[in-house]
Amino acid sequence: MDRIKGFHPMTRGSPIAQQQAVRVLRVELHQADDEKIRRVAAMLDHVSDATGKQAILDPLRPRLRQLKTVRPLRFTRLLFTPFEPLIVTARAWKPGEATVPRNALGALALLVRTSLEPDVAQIDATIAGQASDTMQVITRAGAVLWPRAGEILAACTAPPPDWQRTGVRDALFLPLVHAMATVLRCGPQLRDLQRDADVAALAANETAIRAIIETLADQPPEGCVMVAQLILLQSPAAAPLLRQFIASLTDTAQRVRLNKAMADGTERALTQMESQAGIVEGVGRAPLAEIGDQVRRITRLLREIGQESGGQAHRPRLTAIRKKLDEVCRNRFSDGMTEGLVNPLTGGRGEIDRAGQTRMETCARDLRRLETAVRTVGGSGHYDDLLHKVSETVQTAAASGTLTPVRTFRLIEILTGPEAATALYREDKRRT
Amino acid sequence: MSDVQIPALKPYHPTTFQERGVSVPFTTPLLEGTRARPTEKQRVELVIPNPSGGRGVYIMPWKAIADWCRPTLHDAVFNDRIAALRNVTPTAIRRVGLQVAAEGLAGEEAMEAARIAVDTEKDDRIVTNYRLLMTLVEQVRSRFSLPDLVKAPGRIDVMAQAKLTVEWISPRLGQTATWTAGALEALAEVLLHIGIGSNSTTGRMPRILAMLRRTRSEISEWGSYLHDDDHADYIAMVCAVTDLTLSLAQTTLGQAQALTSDMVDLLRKWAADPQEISRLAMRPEWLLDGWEQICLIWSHARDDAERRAALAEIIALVPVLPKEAVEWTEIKADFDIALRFRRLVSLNEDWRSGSVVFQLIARNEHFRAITCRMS
Repeated sequence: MDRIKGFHPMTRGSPIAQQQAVRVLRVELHQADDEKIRRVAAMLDHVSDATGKQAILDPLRPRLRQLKTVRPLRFTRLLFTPFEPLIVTARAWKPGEATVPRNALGALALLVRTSLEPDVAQIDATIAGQASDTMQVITRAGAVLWPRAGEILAACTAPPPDWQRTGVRDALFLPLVHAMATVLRCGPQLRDLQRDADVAALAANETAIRAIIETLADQPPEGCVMVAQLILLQSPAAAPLLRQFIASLTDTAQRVRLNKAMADGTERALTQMESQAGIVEGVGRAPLAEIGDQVRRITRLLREIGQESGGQAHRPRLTAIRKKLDEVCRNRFSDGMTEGLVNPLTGGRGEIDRAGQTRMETCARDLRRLETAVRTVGGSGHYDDLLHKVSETVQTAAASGTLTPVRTFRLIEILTGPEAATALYREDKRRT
Repeated sequence: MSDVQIPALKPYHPTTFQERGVSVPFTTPLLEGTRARPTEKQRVELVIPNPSGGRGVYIMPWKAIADWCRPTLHDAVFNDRIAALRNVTPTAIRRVGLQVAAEGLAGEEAMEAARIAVDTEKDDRIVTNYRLLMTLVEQVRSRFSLPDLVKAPGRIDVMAQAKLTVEWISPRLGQTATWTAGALEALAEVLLHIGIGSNSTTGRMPRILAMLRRTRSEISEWGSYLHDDDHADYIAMVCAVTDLTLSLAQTTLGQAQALTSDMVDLLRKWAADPQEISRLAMRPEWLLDGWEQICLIWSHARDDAERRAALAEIIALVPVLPKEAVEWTEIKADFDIALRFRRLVSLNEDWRSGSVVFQLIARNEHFRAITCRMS
């Protein structure tokens, strides 16, 4: 932070001087490393000037998202949690694309907040002092807030007085908030599906999917597309069951409408993966600890899209996305391996200590999670070669005294499997 | 998981705790809930729960297990060590677990915790021995008419007084003072974890009991928030078996702790049949065997989704209560409840396989560290 010149958010100067300071800061932040970005975001969380804060944070949002930075859980953040993958910058937002412009969030949060009075105090009390990674608080407070916020937005008939400040035309207000109302009405169920997908232990939650289909019965098409897109992106394993339930609907018009929403949602999900923000930035720049899960979700989604009835038509696009994903993952794997394993092992800093070993084991696990998830889209030979090379580096480090025998076995086990580690362990026991 | 031919599922209705086997803290996700038990041929066999969560168990040699699920190095070494055990008891398995973890095979955190636990256990044994000796001194002083030299407090130090007391009581037990000292040491080993004297609420068994009570209360409270029939059934089953286990464990723990209320009688019984005393002291550990893992799985879950997953995992792990528990406590109850409710939970196809395995092994190794710290 101290090395970022011009960062004085509380400075009282002329507006021109302030704008200039923000511009300088933006340039500096563009080149800042991850740790610096985290510190700046943490500092800005305590700055009350919303406009200035937005000016600095907006260009950083993609990186903040990738870094999974933990932020204070505020009302606005909780309210729009269900929309996370659909929120785009003002410049990227286009009406009818089933996305949400970030510049509208403040005004919409104020609108919901005002309409919720006096009950908003209960929600504020629930989230007070909590962070954006407190899963249970988000789930429970969201279950209270989202359906009510959905009703408030659905009941809107005109934009609020300050809407023009968002930069979104008045005529687009109602279609946007009514679509968002659909998502919020399904908020608790979407949250359940998403968290179940994160945990990856249980099969798709039938109760949640049935509730979503019931809710979608009389909702605007764009809202239904948003819901379909969210399910596909966040909980792709639930998609087959969702399609199955839609297919079993006896109301033909409803079935056709929801099938169309699924088709449009699929189209949007594919477009998002094809965009720069999708695979290249979303996966390529994410922290190593997160990539395995992201790739697992993406490969599952690609499989689901390929297996759906119209999947044949998407084949060329799916192939291109798989190729891009494979390429990005190979680079990320290679970088992660060098940074987290090869450098510490060959840096000549003497014997690896407990903390160093724990870091390397964590890195090795993250790499294996990534490699196991991505094997289904690309060849496995590349990863086998890299894993073989790094296991040789581990053994060389062991021979030079950088690693104890047990730490060597542990790394070999994670990188190449328990059989190799068990053989080394038994050989070591025979010798000693 | 490879496409290995695995043997057919076998029925599992143990009537004794030996037959139920001892929970082995393997770190391989597919081996979760595995129990070790002695065979008629004096070998040790592994009983692996049906991975689907349904009824029945697999019993197969290690070679077949290794082909089926690629066990971790920790588990391979663990299996080697328990194969050589003559007595398969919870204490014996726990000690093997500490040794393997202390070698570092379950990671750095578990290694540190296990090494500390090994040292702490040595200290605890000395403290327990001391407590038993002091309890004997106090009881002998208050129940017998002692010569002045033996009972004179304040004039000689505590240890000298204890030595005089042992020398005085030993002939009345028909034993030598050396035998009594040795018996107190051996009893310290047997009673180490039940929590005796002022330690009656902080020993390992009382701590696990308290943890299980807390877990039961949290599961029940969580269930009251949900409005879901499936979960309600599972929660009811877990709570019912937990309540029964708590009741049985509390009763047997009370019986074991009561042994020290008459130290002279305890020494007489020890002289007559040490095995009987050991069996009585071991009952709480047999009853609570396998529950520690359940408590850890539950406490690891941070939100509703993780709790739903934890519950599905727990359902398959709830220990079956053998009928032998009735003989121990005379508590009458429905002992088949855990078996009757054991049924299929719809799991994600990726669970315990693919990229999730690495996280689960790391989690299980973290559990090993916590268990070592609780030893």
